[in-house]
Amino acid sequence: MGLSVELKDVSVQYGSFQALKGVSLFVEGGEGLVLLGPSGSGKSTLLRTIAGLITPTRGRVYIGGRDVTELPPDRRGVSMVFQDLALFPHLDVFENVAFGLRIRKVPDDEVRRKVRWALELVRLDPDLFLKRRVHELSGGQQQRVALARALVVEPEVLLLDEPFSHVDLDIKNRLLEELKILHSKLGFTLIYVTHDRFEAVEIGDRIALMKEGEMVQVGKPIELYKKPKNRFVAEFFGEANIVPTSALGLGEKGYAVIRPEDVVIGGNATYKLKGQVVDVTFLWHYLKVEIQSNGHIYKAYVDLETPVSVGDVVEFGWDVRDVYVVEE
Amino acid sequence: MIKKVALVAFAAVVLLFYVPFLALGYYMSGGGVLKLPSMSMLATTFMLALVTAAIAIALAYPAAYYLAKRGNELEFALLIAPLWVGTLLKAYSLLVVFSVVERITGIVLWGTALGVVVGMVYEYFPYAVLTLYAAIEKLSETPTQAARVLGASRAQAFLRVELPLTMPGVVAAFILIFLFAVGEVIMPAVLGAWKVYTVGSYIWDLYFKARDFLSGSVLSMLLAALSLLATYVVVKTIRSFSI
Amino acid sequence: MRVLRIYTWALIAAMYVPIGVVVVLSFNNSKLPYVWGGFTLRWYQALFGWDLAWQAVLNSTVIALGVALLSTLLGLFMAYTLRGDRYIAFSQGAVVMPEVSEALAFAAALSLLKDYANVNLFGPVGVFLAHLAYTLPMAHVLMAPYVSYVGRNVVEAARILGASELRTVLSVIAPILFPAFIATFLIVFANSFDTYIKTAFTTSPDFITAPILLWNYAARGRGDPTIYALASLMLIPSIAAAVIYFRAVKRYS
Repeated sequence: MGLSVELKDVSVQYGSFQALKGVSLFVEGGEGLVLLGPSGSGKSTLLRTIAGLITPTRGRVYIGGRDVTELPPDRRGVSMVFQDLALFPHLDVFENVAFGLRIRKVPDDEVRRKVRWALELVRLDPDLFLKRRVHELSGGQQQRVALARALVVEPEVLLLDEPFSHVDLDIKNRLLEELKILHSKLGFTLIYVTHDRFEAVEIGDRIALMKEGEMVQVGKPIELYKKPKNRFVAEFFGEANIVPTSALGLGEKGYAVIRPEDVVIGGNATYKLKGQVVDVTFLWHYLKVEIQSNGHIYKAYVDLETPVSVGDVVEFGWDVRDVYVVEE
Repeated sequence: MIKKVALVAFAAVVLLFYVPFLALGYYMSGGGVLKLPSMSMLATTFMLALVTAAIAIALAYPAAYYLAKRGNELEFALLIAPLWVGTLLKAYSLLVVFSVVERITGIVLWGTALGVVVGMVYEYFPYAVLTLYAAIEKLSETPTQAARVLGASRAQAFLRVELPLTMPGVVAAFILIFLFAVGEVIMPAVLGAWKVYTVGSYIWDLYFKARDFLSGSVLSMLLAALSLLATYVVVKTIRSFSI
Repeated sequence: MRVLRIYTWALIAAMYVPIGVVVVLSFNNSKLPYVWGGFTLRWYQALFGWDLAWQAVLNSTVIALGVALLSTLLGLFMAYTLRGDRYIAFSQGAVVMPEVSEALAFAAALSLLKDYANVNLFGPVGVFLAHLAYTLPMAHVLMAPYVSYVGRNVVEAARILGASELRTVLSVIAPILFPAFIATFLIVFANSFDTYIKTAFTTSPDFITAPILLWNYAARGRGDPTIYALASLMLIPSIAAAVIYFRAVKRYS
């Protein structure tokens, strides 16, 4: 079972730039947590702080309850897959995967056995790939080697920094699925950094959403979606109509969040508006309709059969129970 | 118009630089008694060049590593600037320093192989820094970080990842310096006081003392061919290096 | 890293000590290098009163100026029009060639001319040509990366806007390349001013340059403080070249 990871009030300062501003986070042993956020939100910095590649200016880092803040990366028992993979170009596949074992002075026959095991885990045929040079491999194969190299040391905590950002979408989806299976099979604690919310929900039991060096909200995907803490969460984690509450008569301060799938056109709605359709887009299993009303553009996801076209003046609305109000 | 001027200039390079080598060919075909350098002279030359290259690289590697990782422009400029100082001036400066050292410590450097090595290392050190710097600077940080996360200590990460990855740079620097050093004339002459006798000195004497164009031509051509070959190897290694 | 920093600075110090010693000794009021006899300018006075030294420095300067101007200009044109690895390879090959080989080849060619065409170029002309043979490819190699920095699109834009080829070079390329031009000029100047081997092979006994004079004393060992003064003065082009080179290069980063 994987070890827990905890950060307490961690700050990282680069000169005058504050990359992390007092972040606290608890990841349970064996959990899969995704660090999500736009670029520059500090998610990679946070991951590197856990790995020990960055020493925090303030705060503590605990792995399995042990304070590791001052420990160098090689003594933390974590493993990591890097965004640019960082395979060793001077070594073949076998030696790349074997690297961590060699450092640990594992006997030769044990190394051979474990490397084969790790390559099989990531579905690379050892007999075909062991002696290949890493630059002869395709992008997806390189990802697998990087994953095998990180897994072969049987880490308690596996860190992944946007590992699949350089491969095609379908290969990415397959790799994500396999990673999920490996996670449940091997039981390590998984912390995964991405800026892509679709990737995040694939892999994460919980999602930690970051912005500008701060932790904004941590929770299950459905919590972030249904109960966003603020406008930023509502906008970043899914599509949303965000309207000042004053415009809807819901009070002076704050914003109303209405998900586009809750907006109906001409049907049963407890709150109704009139507007003109300005755009209709076909999106496979629904239509995305944009309606202008009182200077606002509302997005609605409706049935493919809904009879709307650009220029129509329509009545639309939603059930007031579907409105979620955030303060900022 | 400019194209024509450039072509004329290029023709001038070929004419002034490469065509004179035909004169060597002419003298070689003329025949005569070929006086080849003695084995001991060859041995001295190669040993000097080997030792010079090895010491220069060993001294330069840590400095180049520092420059590539943390160095500032001033430090870089200061280490490279001696490239622009002429060899003879450097040799002469060292000669003066040697005489002071000899007076104070009693260690004789002038006229010894050690003195010549000091001079040649002094001269070629900036080339080692430049070449190694280029190799180390290209190195991405992440393979080292990956090694650290996989359990390697700082020293292990350096020995198993960074050093092997910069090896082509070391090879390039070695070939470059070895080559320059094999043809060296000034340092052995000034600091070795003609007592440390190298192929360069020999070619020099063949021309100035013996007026033996045949032997001088043969040796020069060999030296030139060796250098072109080595340059080709260097260029190849550096290219294959950028994966 | 701290250790490495100290190490680096120790090396820097070691590189400048020998040169520094000579400069300091040129102001030393004592003939012995290990005795400090107080500050004096008398070695410089002696140097300036020495006709041969004047002649040598003047000769070196004139040759270096001519060589630097011609090779930088032609090097620029070559770098501009003759792009492509083949041409550069020729020049790179010339730059790494051992100096003795090249000098001997040049001397051999001059000897042939003298023996068969009765044209004796040994002396100023021979020295000038021998220097040019080396500095031209050197200028080409040095200018090439900066010329490629200008980029084709800038040039094409100028041409489309109606500038002639010469006009493009003068009003677009030249201003961008000016720092590189100056830097190359100085490097070539310093190189020509300092070089000894090529000069020795191609000069005549009555044409003396600064390095030849220095050699005549250096090769005998020790030397007198007037030569320290000469050596110190000969450092000036090198220092100027180094300083301006690094300033110029910064503009392109």
